[in-house]
Amino acid sequence: MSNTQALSTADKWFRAYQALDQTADPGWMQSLRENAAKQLSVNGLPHRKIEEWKYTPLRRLENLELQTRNQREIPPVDTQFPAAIAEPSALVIDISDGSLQSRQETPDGLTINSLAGGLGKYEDRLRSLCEATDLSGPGRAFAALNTAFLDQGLLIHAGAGVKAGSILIRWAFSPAEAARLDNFRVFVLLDAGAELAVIEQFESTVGTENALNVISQVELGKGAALEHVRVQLESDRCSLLTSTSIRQAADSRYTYSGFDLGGGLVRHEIDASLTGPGAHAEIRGAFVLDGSRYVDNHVSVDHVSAGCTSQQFFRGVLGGRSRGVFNGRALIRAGADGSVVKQSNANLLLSGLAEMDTKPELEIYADEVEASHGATVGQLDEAAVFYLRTRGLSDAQARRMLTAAFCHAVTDQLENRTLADRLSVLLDEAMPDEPPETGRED
Amino acid sequence: MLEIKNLHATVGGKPILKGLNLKVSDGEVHAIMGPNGAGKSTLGNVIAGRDGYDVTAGEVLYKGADLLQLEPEERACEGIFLAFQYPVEIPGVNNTYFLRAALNAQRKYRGEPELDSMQFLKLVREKLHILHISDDLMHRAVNEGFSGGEKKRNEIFQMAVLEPSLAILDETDSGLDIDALRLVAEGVNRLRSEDRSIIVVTHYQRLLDHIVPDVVHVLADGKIVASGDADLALKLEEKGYTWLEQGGIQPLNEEARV
Amino acid sequence: MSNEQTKADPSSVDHFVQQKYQHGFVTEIESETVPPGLDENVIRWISARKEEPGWLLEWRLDAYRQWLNMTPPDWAHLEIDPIDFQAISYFSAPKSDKDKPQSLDEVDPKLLETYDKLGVPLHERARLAGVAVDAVFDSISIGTTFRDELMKAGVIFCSFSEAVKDHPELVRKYLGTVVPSRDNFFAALNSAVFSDGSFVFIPRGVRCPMELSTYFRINAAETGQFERTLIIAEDSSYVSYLEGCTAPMRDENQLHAAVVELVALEQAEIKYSTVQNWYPGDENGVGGIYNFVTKRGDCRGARSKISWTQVETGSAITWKYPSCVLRGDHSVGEFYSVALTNNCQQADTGTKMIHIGRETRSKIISKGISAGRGQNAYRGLVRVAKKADKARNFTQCDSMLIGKGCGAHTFPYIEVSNPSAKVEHEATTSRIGEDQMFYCLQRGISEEDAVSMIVDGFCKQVFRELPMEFAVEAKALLEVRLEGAVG
Repeated sequence: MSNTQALSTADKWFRAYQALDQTADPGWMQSLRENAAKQLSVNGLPHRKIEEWKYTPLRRLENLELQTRNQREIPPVDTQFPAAIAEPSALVIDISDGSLQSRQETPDGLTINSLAGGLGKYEDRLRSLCEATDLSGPGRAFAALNTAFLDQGLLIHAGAGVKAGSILIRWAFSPAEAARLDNFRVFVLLDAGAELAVIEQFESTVGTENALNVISQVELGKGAALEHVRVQLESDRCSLLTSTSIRQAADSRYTYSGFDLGGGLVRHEIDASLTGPGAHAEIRGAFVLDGSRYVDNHVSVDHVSAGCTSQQFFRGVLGGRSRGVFNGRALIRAGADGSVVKQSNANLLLSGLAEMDTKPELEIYADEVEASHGATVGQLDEAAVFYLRTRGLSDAQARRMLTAAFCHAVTDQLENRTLADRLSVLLDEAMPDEPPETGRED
Repeated sequence: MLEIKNLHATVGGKPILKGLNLKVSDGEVHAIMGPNGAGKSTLGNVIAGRDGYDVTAGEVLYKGADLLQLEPEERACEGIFLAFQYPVEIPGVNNTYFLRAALNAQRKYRGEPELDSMQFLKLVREKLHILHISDDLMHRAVNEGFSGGEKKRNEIFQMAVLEPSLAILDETDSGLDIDALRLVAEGVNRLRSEDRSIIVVTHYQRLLDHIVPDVVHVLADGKIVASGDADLALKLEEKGYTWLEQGGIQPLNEEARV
Repeated sequence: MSNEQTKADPSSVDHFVQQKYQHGFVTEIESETVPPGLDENVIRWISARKEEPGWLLEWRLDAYRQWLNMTPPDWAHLEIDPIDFQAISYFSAPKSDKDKPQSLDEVDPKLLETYDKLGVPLHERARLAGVAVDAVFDSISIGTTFRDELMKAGVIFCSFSEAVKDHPELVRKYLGTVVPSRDNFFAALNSAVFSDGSFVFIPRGVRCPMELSTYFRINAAETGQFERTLIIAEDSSYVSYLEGCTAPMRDENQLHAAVVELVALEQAEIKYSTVQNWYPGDENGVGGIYNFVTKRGDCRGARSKISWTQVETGSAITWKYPSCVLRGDHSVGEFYSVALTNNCQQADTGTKMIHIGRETRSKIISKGISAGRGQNAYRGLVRVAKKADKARNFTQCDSMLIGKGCGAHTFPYIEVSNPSAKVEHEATTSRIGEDQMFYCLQRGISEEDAVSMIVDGFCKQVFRELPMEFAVEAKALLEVRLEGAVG
């Protein structure tokens, strides 16, 4: 997207903001929106000159119309979900076209509510989270957009020491005539010692053009643990932009496992801030791309306190004309001694038209640290292919098996083995059939 | 079973096998010995059909048919098994899953019904038991993190499950201590049968104390330069490969072997 | 603009100077220094002063016009106060002897102390310190001896200005073909105002009989802040070129913006080694050189090879990415780097390996050492283009931190669009382990010796690539630079 286009699209969206009726909302929310809209209007959308967005093709977002509360009638949407990937005991929350559809009874100590519904009891916490969202510069345009249209949201809260089980969030789009962009915000608050698994499933059955811009804000109290799984099997007409920020108190634990097996334009930003000593973040993902999909994982872990550990581990398989991006950043601040950081990104390129761009960054200001990273782009090990063939597997079978195994390195790290097994099956099914091109021999 | 005539092969353009002749009948165990660089491993890889090992002349007949026309997996399905000198580690591929896929691919090729996981597990347990291998092996990824001994035993275990007609053991003794060597040899001996031929490729005689061969060949500079019975191996061990070079025995032609 | 106007007529120089004077500038023609500031007239003056042909002046002016529309790069991990480009003087000929220190007694004792530690021969110290003593070293005769031998081999090795006069066809054919004048802000600036530099031409099939070094090219010393180097290796030739000097150079220029272009034709090999040890500023970050360098090699021919080795220990700011464009099939690019930042030094350095030809290979070994409050960033790009079948890259990029106040950063960009390519990047960050330290101390080795021993080990892979004498000096240099970093 060129500079001028970026501005005009932002202008269009700014005008939609001006049409917003927000008389019933608290004052802080109105001024928050106003400030965000201003940022958006001044900075415009990101473009290739913005380092963080240099690979992201935003052109496809230009024609999208913003949905606002005023325009949106919220009928119960008949969305059909494929089989759930979470265990049957999980609480299910449906979010359709960026609005909350269903809520279930929750066990003691666990609260699930809409943003509007949560404002009473949680107003201060939600306000401070919203106000903490970084909106500065064109790189944060989608956060500004989301904030300018702050309206639909989901609040999940687990009280101190509550073992809250699993929650499945199913995101879907309903058939729509005009291509559009929805904004949504998720808050996950775990008090000290609370434990929760949140599984997000993005899998619409309709193939219309849609975009979703989600901001998730996670606060983990001392010793709290959140297992976050995201499975994305959208159609290639769908754009998905997510930005997840996690603030972690001492000894808390955040694990993210993302599986991108679909989607047209997909970009995940995951920013973990390890503010308390001994906090641990583990962020991993696998993507299997074909067609002209674009999947981008922008991961950043900020080691603020001493004795924190983090891992970033991504595996990518790229076929067709797809493009994958991994940008992993680890920042170790002065004083964050005893930090341990590992970054790894390995990719298989299967097609002459696919492209992988990877950038594992380390920024280190403390000397008592252990930091390493590795990134590779390559092919399957031909010795392994041969080994399998000497045992009777066909060349195609051998390659498929090895490619799947390459991605299983991610599911292997999940503690929940039942879920890991289901995800492995999904991965296996997503394996491309095309035999990899091994370069022209002419 | 196997007949190799005047085989010439190159690796990366460099001639390695230079007119090798070998005939292995059903049920026989042949040992191929030779100094480093003689072409021992090349022979195994050529028979198994590895890319980059180019046959420039000669022929290889397996069960009377031209073997060189076949893809590696077709050779495997026809009953050829290569126990690798350096078994390949395949992270993320579970040993059980891998072996079942291999066995079913071979069964399918032969027109036999595929085994479901229960049937397969039963077969595996049986084989593990016979070979005194703990079933912990089955839950791990193929060869990943295995010790040298475990890798070689895993090869023999795969051989037991896949039941090949012709097995080539490429330096299966290398890197093994004496106990591991005995275990591997026992495994191989259990798999000896009238309709299975085995080629044992080795640098040292010691494996042949445990797997007693019917015929011993000496491979040097890409050719079989001497053949004899098990005593030949002992002589070689005693006198070293230089003994050959110094004309210790005259090169024999194929007909002259025992 | 007509040719007549661009023609660098020496007589117009006077006119220009006069003009300037009329406008209130003070210019003493004897000192041959233009007043601070940059405009087209300054460029015309420089070009005329150097008696350059019209095409070169036009080339400079074009670069200048491009430069006007460019902004200094801000993406590096560097904190730089804005540079006032109009406050810099863009041409200053070597100082006359009367302006130089008249003896070593007038030279900063700290500088002399460093020479002592590095073992710089006495007669060399004066030259390095810029003392106006001509007889210190028989530079002319040495230079001449080498020149004769090179001439016999057909090698051209001269200053850039001489090359413009004596070999204009070669300069014109290759200048700016590797680093175009609009390449980046500093390259454009250099193209507009470059003062002098080295020119090397190795004809087809010739293996240059000796290592070429700026060290011996004494006649072109003090080439100043905007150096320009062009090395051309014709088919099947070989040259090893050493740049810089391991002793600290006395240098009063704050801003350096050099450009180096290498061209390797079929099966040619160029090995380019640099030891950079300019003034890094004091402990508090006052003073020091700003070093913004654009170095790039073009492996234009099949099976050609370009190898960069750098030891960067000086300068307050280092902004430098010696790169290889692997255009020829089977061509090879290498980058070996040691970068040390101590006190308030900042470095953002690395390389770019652009794989275009088939079966091209590249290797990157980078060792960053940060001490004091130094900030040291590796920034590298490995790009494999669509047609670069079976391209290979291996990158190893290690950082070492010494002390609490420093930073070590790694920004590798990997962009691959060929499925048969294999790219591997590894990086580690470590500090000198307490157990390593204790082990050395327990064996009776002093703390400083232990550190330099461990650092030397850390850098071994790179030092190995340097010509032997250079390697010894580079090692000594690290020791000097690390002094006071521990304890």
